[in-house]
Amino acid sequence: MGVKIYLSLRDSASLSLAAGDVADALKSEAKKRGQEIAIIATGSRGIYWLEPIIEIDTPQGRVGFGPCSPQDVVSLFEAGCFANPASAQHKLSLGLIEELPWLKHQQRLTFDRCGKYDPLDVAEYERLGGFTGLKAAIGMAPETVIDQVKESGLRGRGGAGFPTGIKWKTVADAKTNRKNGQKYIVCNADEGDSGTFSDRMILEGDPLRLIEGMVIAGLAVGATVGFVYIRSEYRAARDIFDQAIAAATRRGWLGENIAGSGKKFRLYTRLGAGAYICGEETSLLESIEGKRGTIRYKPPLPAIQGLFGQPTVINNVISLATIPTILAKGAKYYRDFGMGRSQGTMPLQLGGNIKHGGLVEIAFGITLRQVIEDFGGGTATGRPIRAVQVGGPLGAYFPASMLDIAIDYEAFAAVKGMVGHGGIVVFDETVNLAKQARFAMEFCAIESCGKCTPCRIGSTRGVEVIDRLVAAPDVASHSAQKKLLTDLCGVMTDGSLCALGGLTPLPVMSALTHFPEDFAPGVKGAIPMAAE
Amino acid sequence: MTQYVPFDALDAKSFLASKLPPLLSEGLSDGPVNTSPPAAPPQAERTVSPLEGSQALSSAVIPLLHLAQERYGYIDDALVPVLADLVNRSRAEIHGVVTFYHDFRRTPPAQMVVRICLAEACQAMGSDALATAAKQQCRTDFHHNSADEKYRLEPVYCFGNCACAPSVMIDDRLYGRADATKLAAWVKGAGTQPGMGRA
Ligand SMILES: Cc1cc2nc3c(=O)[nH]c(=O)nc-3n(C[C@H](O)[C@H](O)[C@H](O)COP(=O)(O)O)c2cc1C
Ligand code: SF4
Ligand code: FES
Repeated sequence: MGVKIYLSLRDSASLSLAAGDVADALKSEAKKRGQEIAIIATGSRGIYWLEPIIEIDTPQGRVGFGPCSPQDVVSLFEAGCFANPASAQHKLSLGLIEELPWLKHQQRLTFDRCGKYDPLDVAEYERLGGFTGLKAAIGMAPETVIDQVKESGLRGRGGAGFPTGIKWKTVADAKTNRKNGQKYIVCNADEGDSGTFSDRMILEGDPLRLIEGMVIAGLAVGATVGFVYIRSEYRAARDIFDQAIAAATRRGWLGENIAGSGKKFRLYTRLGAGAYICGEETSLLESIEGKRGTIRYKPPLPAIQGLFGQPTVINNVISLATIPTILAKGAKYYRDFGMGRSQGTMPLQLGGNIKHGGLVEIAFGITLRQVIEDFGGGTATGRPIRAVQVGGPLGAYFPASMLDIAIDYEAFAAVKGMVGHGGIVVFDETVNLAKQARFAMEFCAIESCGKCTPCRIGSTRGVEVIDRLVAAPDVASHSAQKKLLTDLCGVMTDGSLCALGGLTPLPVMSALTHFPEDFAPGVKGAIPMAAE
Repeated sequence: MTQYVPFDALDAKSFLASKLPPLLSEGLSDGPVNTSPPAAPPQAERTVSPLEGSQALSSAVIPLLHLAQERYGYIDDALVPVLADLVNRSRAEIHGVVTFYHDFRRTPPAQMVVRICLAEACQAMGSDALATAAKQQCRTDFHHNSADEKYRLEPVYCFGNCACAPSVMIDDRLYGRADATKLAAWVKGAGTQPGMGRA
């Protein structure tokens, strides 16, 4: 079958960098030369600053060439990259991929397989150690599975950081509200946070891992049906995931008799429809039920009365995709990564104005500066970093002087920020933080579900107040507007029903606190606050 | 460029009815639900009780709206009563769903839909300037079709392509590291370039 060439053709981001055109060029050039090649479509390893990467097997490991454009293909053939990959000299040569410091210094537990193989090849997934966790879980009592998850210290990676094991225990103990009713496992693949893409990478690059995690969750809590709610911007990911469900079902990892255990689990996907709020768990459930995505009052918790009123586990993609590692390698193995109450690893996503952007999975405890400088290599534009937003559109903006905070749930909370889903967006000195704060309010206004007043009305008033604040002609009106904005943020924080209205003040107030000068373009002496 | 079927209420009725049955079995651990009022006998033999018929019908609403929009390009107001009838919900409820979600358009789209990411990571890489260029290039504003019905411009808040910002999508194809010059070329070339796309 000729030389095996691995190319991340299943990854939307790689395709957005013309990986598909590179594949076309490879095929036509190989044909012209009468050379046999086989292109294996993989997900991405998340080394986006070097994608599209062509990888070729050698006895020492995979060697890579990248970033490749269709125009580079002829010269790759001419340099003998496919005939003698280990010794070929080419300007795009990256050497052994797994020896790249950027990758080697990561601790990939959840992303260990992503990008290495064709994610729809179930047999290959098994060969790479897949389904070991599920097999272990099948041999355990459900309570033991839950205990393992509890002991691992895993906290929800969707944003709120709630301990996963405790959530599962609640569902396991809850009764369905009608005779023989069924419990559900719902995977939150809405990934609405800007600056994040780890869920997408798993859906496209290692979907079987998510399936494995969901089946384990089903066995642990006694649920026989699962839904994966995927945002509509990720249609391509949904297509791959649907194919992965079909492939796993054919090999008996889903369906009526999972791996001969007599246990059953069925899985379905649902596409969102472009509403950020549907990432909030109760709104997401409303959406699966075919309704407007408005927030439900809590209690009852979804764990007690969730989808169709039944006990429901709802977890983020990364939380569920991490479960197989915990079951396969043990709770202690996982827990030994990390610091304090933030245990294990966090898949961080480096984006925005960053030189070496991509997915960095690493134990909690590393500092923001290390991530941005050591992995990220600074800004893409080469200008100094001025601000970094962590945790999506509801996360705080930090100035360059505060980058020594450790990536840790509690450390971030202490400086009025949040780790969230692990998105890190870097801005250079051209950013205007008043504009960013205004955008935060505007986004809240666009995406508000409308159920409560502080968010529905407050966000629109917030945009107006920021406009007036920035336009303030003198110190008196400036401080009056600043007080108004601070009050409004207080009301939104305290009075909103969910975290959309409740956390929008985080980016707004962090911008105002750390970058007061951007809010007072016309007022001299209006920024004594800078010292605060 | 996407080809759509012209909207027609009768066509919609049979189309949606044909798409409903497989959706009704989703969410059940053992096969399709019987939605006609008197429960059919096999129902009693289930080891796990199904969703209530009304729940199964209702949860098909958003998938059906997506299918309708893929077929007709938008959700015609006249589709609302047809769908309401089919899933046994009020028109008001279906209207509520259509208007809640940003994806559902209530007027026909243009020949080409250009989506620009306006979220933070793309802002950090100049999505503002890109949006301005897109408006000029497509001769329209966000949420509108150009006068010649050639282009429609829509904002998106993140494509999950934030390490390759700024991002744009033209019809179904996503592009990273966009700028005004590349955008112009992509808009002109869309539909003509092969690009193997997905494996
Ligand atoms: C406005 C809003 C948006 C959210 N968006 C997401 C999302 O896109 N993905 C996600 O996993 N969780 C999101 N969440 C958090 C969920 O409500 C919920 O905490 C999470 O799905 C639980 O899973 P985990 O414990 O595994 O993190 C969002 C919350 C809010 C308030
Ligand atoms: S805070 Fe906003 S999104 Fe959340 S319930 Fe209130 S109106 Fe809805
Ligand atoms: S912010 Fe634009 S793709 Fe994520």
